[in-house]
Amino acid sequence: MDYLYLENVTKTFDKVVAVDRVTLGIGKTEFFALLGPSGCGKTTTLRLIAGLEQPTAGRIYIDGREVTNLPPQERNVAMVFQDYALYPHMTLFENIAYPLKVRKVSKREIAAKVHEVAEHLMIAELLDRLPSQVSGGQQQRAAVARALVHAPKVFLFDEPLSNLDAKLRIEARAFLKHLQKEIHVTTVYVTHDQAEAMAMADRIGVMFAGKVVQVGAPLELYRFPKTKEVAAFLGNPPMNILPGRVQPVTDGSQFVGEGFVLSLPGVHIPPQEIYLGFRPEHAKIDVEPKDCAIRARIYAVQPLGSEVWITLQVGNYTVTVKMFAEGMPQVAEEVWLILDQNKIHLFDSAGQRLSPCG
Amino acid sequence: MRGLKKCAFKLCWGIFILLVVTFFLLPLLWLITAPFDAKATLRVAIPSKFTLANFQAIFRNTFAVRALFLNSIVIAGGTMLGVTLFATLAAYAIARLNIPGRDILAYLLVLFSSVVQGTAAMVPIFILLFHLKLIDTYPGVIFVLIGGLLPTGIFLMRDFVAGVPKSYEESALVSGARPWQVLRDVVLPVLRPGMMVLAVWSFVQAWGDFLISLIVMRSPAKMPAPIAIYSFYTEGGTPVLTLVSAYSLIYALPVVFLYLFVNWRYGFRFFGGIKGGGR
Repeated sequence: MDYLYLENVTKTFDKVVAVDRVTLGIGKTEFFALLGPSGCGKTTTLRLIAGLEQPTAGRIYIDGREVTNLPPQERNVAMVFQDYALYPHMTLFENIAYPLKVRKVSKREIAAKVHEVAEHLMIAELLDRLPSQVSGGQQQRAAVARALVHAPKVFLFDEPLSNLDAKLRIEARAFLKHLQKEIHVTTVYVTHDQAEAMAMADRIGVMFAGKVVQVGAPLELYRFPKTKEVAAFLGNPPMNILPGRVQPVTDGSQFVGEGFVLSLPGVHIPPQEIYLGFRPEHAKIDVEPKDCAIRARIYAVQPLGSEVWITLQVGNYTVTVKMFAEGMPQVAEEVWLILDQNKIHLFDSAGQRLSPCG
Repeated sequence: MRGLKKCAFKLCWGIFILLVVTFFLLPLLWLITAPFDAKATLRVAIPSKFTLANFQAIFRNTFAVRALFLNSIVIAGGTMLGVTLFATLAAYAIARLNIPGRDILAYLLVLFSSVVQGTAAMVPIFILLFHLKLIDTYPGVIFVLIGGLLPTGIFLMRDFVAGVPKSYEESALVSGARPWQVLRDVVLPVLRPGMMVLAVWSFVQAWGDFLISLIVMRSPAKMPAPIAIYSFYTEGGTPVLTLVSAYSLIYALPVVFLYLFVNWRYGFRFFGGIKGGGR
């Protein structure tokens, strides 16, 4: 059985369904990210695991024991809050020591453990300062230290990096991932930042409107998104998704969009309204017309150093193509867009995946 | 020309401010000078004959000394503790629980506070205390004062509680703390600046109370200072200004010291929130 298991968990607030029949299994020592837009129920799910909310229906198990109705203090989990929630009247030492203090650990052991954890997180020399006297990054480390100190069964993170500036955030990502691998504690990490989830997690669960839509390893989600929403949510810039119709032709099908037609050789699906998706890195542009190429006009070019994002107008759509700066052709006003036929995603009108990629 | 006008305006404004300040400052000046004057009148004057005899006379009046240093302290202190404790707990509950019509409740409370200590309520309060056998007791006075101050106290405290992020308590709960530990270790320390404001405010309110004690207390030995001050009136009903001023000065000092102490120790802040930290 999974180390942390949510079985058909539902949470409603005044008739609003925040978490809708979520079933999730998270393995021991796994780093699991809950990813979704704000208001999708990911934080509520985390709070349900912590015991800060009681589920309306369903059960929650930690380490084989049902904890559904246990108060937070009896679950032996640890949580790092978005605002860190360091107590402003206590020094970092007192903050980190607090979980041990309420567990009636002896003073000598507390001092030893706090120093060990602080050493590990490189805040040992700040222990006698107040939270207001250290930087945001140091506060974050102190909050992690406080969560770490009592050896919890599950580590819960609620968007812990969103209060850091961009540079610190990248550093903290690597730091947290490394730390998690080192201490081997089952971790649930809530974020709305797909890059964070992709970079850190062993597996990601993508949530929309209270439901877990897809669970899988980062690259699996990236390559085989089950729905249009998942496809659009992962990746930067996001996947290009164009609505249109598919029609059978000899040796395959044909996608008819507004203002262009793209043949899809080898694809056999009945005629219907569909969405065609392709990732920005799975397309090229050329100045010469070629087979299967689509006529496009350049809308904007964003040189970002190692790569270039080129926004094109194709028929009535706007699409973005990402390419390496070195391979960039001399761009003209009118270019030809060539899609990698093996990396095209098709979704039906309800947004469900139609074909596996390639 | 315009510069002259501006100057004249500034001058008038300055004189106006000066008049206002003088109006409020004169009684205070009198309170500082008159007690040391052997022949104090209602005029503010540098004591023509400096003396401490007035104070000696007061400390010979055991009734007045007992009123100030025991009765007033007990009544104001008890009220302060009660209001601070109950208002904090109540405000915390009101701010954290989702009671329907919570805000209306808070405003109604404030409205009612004027009723509890209002003159119109004195008869029912007297009857109530009589049946509770609390007439002529300290708790009788203290309960009525607490009842009167509590609603405004809760209202004041609510803002402080609302400024405390909920994540502090949640974090403590997840850390393994019991609810009473969360209250003791996290909530109360974080609310301390607010509690200090409340404590000083309620102490001052109870310290200056006259009506409740006059009605509830029967025996002279239990009267607080605002009533005892009448022992420095002649039988004809005119105040002995030398003694009244000296007694008033001593009466004013505890409040001043309390304010200075709290301000020095904790610092006053009349708004909620503890984002900046500090202890």
